[in-house]
Amino acid sequence: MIKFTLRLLIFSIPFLVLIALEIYIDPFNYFSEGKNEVLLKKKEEIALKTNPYLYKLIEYDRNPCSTIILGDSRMDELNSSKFENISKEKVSNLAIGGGTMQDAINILNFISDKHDIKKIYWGVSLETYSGTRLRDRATPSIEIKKSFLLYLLNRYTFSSAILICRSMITHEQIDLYKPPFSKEDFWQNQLDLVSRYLANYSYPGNYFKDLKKIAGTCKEKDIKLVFVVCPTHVDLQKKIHEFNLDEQDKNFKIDMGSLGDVYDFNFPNVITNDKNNFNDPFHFNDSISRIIIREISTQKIQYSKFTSLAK
Amino acid sequence: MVFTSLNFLLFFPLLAIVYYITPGKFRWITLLVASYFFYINIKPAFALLVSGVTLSTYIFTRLIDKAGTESGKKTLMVINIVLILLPLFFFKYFAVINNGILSLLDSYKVRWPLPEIKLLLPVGISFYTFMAIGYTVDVSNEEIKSEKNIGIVALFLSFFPLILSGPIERANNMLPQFKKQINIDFALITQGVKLMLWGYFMKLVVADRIGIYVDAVYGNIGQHNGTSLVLASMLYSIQLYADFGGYSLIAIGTAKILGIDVMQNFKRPFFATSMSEFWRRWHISLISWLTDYVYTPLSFTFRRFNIWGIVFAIMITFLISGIWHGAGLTFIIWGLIQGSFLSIEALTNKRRTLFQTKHNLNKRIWYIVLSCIVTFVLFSASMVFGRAKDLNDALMVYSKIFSGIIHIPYRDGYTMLYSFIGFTILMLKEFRDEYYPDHFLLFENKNVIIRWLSYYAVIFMILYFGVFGQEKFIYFQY
Amino acid sequence: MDEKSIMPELEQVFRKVFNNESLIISREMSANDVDGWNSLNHMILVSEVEKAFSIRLKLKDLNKMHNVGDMIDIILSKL
Repeated sequence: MIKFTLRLLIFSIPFLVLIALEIYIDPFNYFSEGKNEVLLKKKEEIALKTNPYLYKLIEYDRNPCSTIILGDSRMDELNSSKFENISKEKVSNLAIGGGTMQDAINILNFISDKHDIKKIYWGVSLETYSGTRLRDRATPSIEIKKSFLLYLLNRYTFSSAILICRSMITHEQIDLYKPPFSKEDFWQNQLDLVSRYLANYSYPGNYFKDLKKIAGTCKEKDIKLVFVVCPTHVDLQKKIHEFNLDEQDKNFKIDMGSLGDVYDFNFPNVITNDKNNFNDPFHFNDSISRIIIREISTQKIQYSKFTSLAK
Repeated sequence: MVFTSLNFLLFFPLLAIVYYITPGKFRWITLLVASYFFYINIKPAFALLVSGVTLSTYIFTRLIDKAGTESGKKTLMVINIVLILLPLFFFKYFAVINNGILSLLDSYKVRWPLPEIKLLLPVGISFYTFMAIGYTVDVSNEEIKSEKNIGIVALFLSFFPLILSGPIERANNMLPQFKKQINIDFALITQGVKLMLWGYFMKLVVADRIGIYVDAVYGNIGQHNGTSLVLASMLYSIQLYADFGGYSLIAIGTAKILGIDVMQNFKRPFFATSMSEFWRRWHISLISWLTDYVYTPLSFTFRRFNIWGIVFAIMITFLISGIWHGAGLTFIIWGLIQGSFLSIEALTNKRRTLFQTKHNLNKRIWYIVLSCIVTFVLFSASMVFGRAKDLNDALMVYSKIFSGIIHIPYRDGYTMLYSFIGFTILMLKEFRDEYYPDHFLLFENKNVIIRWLSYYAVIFMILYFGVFGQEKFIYFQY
Repeated sequence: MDEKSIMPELEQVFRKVFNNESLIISREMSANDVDGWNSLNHMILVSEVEKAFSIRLKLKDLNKMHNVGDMIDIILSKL
């Protein structure tokens, strides 16, 4: 028995070391806020990029604002410091790159249980408002957040802990998820990606049902629901026409309009006609992000088509 | 509490410690308490049901032993079987039949007195009911003496490693083990842990990963093309095996750690060269139960019809198997398809064997490989009925597959890569087990360093490639 | 009638059912040892044995038949 227990202990040593490392580094700030500035920056570089859901959900718990942002990588550009600079509005950005509508719904349902929300800026677009974009990456991260054991035993925590440790020791910059393309190639790559989504488009009855429920709750609790249709370059807008989705696009905007206020930037205009305003047909650049923030936060309509929810 | 929940990972080691601290004579009590705790943790009301089945089975088996005549024994046996089938019938099939009649009559604007029923299926009911029936029949056939101690019977029917999804065990294997003095055996415990480890690998790394793809395609059949559906259907067979096979390994490993030997439930089914052989390798506990308690009596009764008696017995057996799996029309169709496969093989057996021997095909590698592939494809084709949520969906899948056009299948980057890695590792291991059982040993290697490195490698793969956050095993609603 | 006298006839039945003219049976032989002896064929074997020896078996007898030796004993008990 002693031999067995001894062997078991020796066998567990790597795991105990790993867990100790994870607790010490705490890549997602699960156990505490984290005061070490250098470490915090590394966590943003590495842990945030490894699992943005987990990182942002934990951060939201620590510093919740009553205004939140949901959506994908484009809404992610509308970060809290820009909001602070432009309109002094305090927001928590819970948008996740590559996030689907299901992700946003799950995140909203999860945080609304514990926090009081007053306003939601929700980035929506035709290719995410689709019955074939159902992938749920939020739930596994929500599960991890709920259990400290899962936090210690999941691959995001230990890969982040190891990378952060390595980066602290060797002082090298770890660059995760840099696309290996030139700008022109990436332009075409993004065009193709979104085209694929559009090609498989189907009307998302379930999403509309879920959103209707959410809009109802927002009305009850006096929460302002604001939908933002981000601008995409006209090259991409042409694809909607190419795939015969003009009717669906119209209906999508009508659906949104029936649930909340809508700021629609996605039509041929001075922003979307100019390639210089975009890093790729899907992602607008920094100056455009500021324009969008100014418009939705101060409600001074300049570039978008605005519809208000009829009372 | 499912095997992949953290609660279980905490509960089980504690239980094992308490179990071995308990003096040998009373260890079965620890197991009984733990099993009921495990079950109550899922839903307290269901524990009442299994204790009801236990009580009935106990009383009737004792009465059977005391009955003097064979017909007396038979009568008591039939009464108990009917009694314990009632809850199974009620929970599993009544709602479906009731709602079916309701909607049928509704379309003719006729009122049906009962409302639509939505019932939650008691977990494990299909498993312990079958175990209880088997025990009753065995006592009636004088294969085993009825157990005097009701606690042991209760433990047999609620034994927590088995209660969720089997293997469906027999009284003559389990009852003696519960009663005997089990000494702590660290070699057995280590073996059990290894089985559990591999089971977790199969479930978390292979099954759940593949499931992401299969769910995406089957969740939106209308949107996906025939090629994606073919791929998803074949992947579903693999997912089902990895899920259920992995789960069985965890159950067997858990029991082994407690010193209890439980039967093997899967034996590398994708190396079967015929559907008959497939069913000797897939869900072995169910098939052997059905063989002993349904097929054998039936085929014996109808043996004067020779091969047609056998065909009849096969069809009924697999019809019951289909119904056991689920209450929908798709399951019945699935069962009948399996029955047809086996009937055709039985009917053509002589001719096929002659052909194979004449051309010495059994030794040819290409023939073996081809047979495995054909068997796998046939099984996957039938599993469309197991996966599609109703008949309409299943038929839509088939019409899309046979539309004749080959498309580019739905692609999902990381899911497919990780699935492929996991699946390859699994198949390599099974290939080794099937054809080179004493070579290339990793978990069983004599060198402790190689053994430990392989444990670390598998644990790493589970933590790194495993899918967490989904806790439902496919065979869970049974 | 004893074991020695029924063996040859029993062997003939086995050879016929399993299509193997060179098959030789022994008491210890069971389903694992013969190619093609499985639950699908078993009932045909049983039926042929009954015909060959003009006996009628019960389901109970079947459950006790684990190998050729058991089979021989049961046949003898019915003769």
